[in-house]
Amino acid sequence: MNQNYTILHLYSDTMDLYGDSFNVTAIANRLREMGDNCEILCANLGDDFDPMAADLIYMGHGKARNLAAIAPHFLSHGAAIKEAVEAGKIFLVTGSSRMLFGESFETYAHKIQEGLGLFPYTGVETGQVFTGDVVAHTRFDPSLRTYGFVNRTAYLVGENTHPLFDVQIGPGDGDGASAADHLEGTLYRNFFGTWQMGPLLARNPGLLREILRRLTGSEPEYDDSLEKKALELTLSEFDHH
Amino acid sequence: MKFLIAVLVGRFIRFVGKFVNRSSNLPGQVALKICPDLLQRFTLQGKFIAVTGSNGKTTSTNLIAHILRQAGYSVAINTEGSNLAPGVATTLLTSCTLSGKLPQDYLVLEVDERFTPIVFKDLQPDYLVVTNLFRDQVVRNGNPDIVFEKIQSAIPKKTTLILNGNDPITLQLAPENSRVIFGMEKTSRSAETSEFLTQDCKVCPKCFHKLRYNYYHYNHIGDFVCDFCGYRTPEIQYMATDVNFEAGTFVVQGENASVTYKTTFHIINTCGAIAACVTAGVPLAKAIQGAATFQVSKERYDEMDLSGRKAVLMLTKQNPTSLDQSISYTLEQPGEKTVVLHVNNVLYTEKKDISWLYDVTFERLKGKVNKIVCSGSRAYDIAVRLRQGGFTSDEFLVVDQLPQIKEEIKKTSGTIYILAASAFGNEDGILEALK
Ligand SMILES: [Zn+2]
Repeated sequence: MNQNYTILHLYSDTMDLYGDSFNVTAIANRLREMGDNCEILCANLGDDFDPMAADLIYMGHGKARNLAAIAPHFLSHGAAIKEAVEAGKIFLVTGSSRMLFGESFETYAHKIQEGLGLFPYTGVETGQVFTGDVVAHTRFDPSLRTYGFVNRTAYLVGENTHPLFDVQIGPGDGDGASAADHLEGTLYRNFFGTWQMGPLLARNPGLLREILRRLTGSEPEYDDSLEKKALELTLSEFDHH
Repeated sequence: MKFLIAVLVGRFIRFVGKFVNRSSNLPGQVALKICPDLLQRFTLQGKFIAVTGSNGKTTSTNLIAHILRQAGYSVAINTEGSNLAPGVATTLLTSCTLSGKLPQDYLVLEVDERFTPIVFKDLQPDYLVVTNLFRDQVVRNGNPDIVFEKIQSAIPKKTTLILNGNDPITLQLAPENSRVIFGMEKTSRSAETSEFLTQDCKVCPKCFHKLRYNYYHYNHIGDFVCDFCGYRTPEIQYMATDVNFEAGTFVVQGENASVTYKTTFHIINTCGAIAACVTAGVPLAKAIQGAATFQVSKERYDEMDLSGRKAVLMLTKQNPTSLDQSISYTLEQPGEKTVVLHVNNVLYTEKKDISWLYDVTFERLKGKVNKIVCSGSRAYDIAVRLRQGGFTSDEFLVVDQLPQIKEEIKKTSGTIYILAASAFGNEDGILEALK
């Protein structure tokens, strides 16, 4: 009956800017509430890690310098990470960590850093902070509406072959200036990637359910009416404008 | 001529503005339009002390000015909320002679971190106090690295830095410049392990390996050492030692000092203010004397009676460290407590993000308060945040219509601590609703 789950939180000390770790907390809280065990492992610069040994891998948003600092260490585990993605392990990657999974990205010092090459996008660094609310519909369930926020200094170029969101309000993956910039994030097998930073799962009960569905293989049962109400109120404020 | 017109027009707007209670930015804004290089045209006769950083700038600026005035010097200072270029211009044009001379012994200016490049380009400080750097509210400010780069690029070669020896981030500013370091020794309130979720220096800012702390004062402020590259807390010249929080006393440079607002945060900032004043020419004994009589602004902290119950109002900035400080203060007080968390949308932007609430360690309130009341336009978001922190539904209540708050408060007991996190706190009348 009781299941044991392991969450691997990659670079929890380095890629941690705005309450990102609450994505992990939100998953663990609900698993425990349903009577399952959940262990959270953190791996940081210099630590060895094995993504295949975890049930879910999380990586959050970090400063441009921090991203550049961890990139070589991350890529030294590249083969294992690619294998885990292709094997259908659940990944949640929020904020600037996404750039590690593309072809390449520009660092804060304007050097080109190679990525894993899982997805065909490349990251462009601007050195300027760009912020915005994002209201979107998810690709796995178009009736699901989400709210998120971006705070970033980079954007992506290249075709989005596996989008996670259709953006209704706010910036997509690109520089935010283009009207055609209506796609956001990545959903490939069980890999969820998005620019939307912070406690995304804590604020979006529908997204959290989808991840738990995929993780547990069944419809998760718990009361998330408070979370739904809070999200509904936030989304309604956009409709009134 | 352009300069004179700008000064006169600015002063006229300021004069009229006083009667209609308008922002102190407008006179400077108009004057800068008339004379874009206005800031360059002033000649300082005294010394210029600038204050920047994430938290504690306004209080530090007021404290420095208070010490200088108590010591008998004349001072020009900008008022709260006018720390952007137009606000600085307003201060200068109302303090100068018609030829643009600033005759005061000292010019003391609070400068917003993001505006340091613009202000310091034209007006180079002799001394720059940097209180600290933290992650700010995501909506507004970007991240500490971006803010660090802004300040770094703004610092003139001649400026002497007054830096917080317990802050690994700001200590890296302008390594070539001369510097004076302030800080605080381990106290009864220091912690061996951080009790805060927000820690902007989990890794060494130089080599990105784990940063070890011998003790924390709060968040990432403490005594640090990197075992990988050797980066560590430097020798601190103005160090608060023998801190007694109950009495509000401490020792700095061998002399007894005291404060009226008895918190870790304020004592560290007071050491910074004393360091700045002494470095700028005030005798140590005079600086200590001035600091002892300084009162924290009533607009930020006030006590009152609400239907027979004691209430404490604390206006916090919309950033995690500021709210964490108010929670610390609340927990340090004796007796039963109810906490009102009042959070609105971020002023000016109307953006809905509340990620910063997830960096505030509300968990510290668990089991320590009678009830938490969530109010303001983001009341439900606070409730969701509390739920994630393990609070159960009998530990908090949500007030989504402000007029109902008075009735809801009746269901609670103990002293009411109102932690209002919005730029000007009371703009939507929480106090009126409670009365
Ligand atoms: Zn180091």
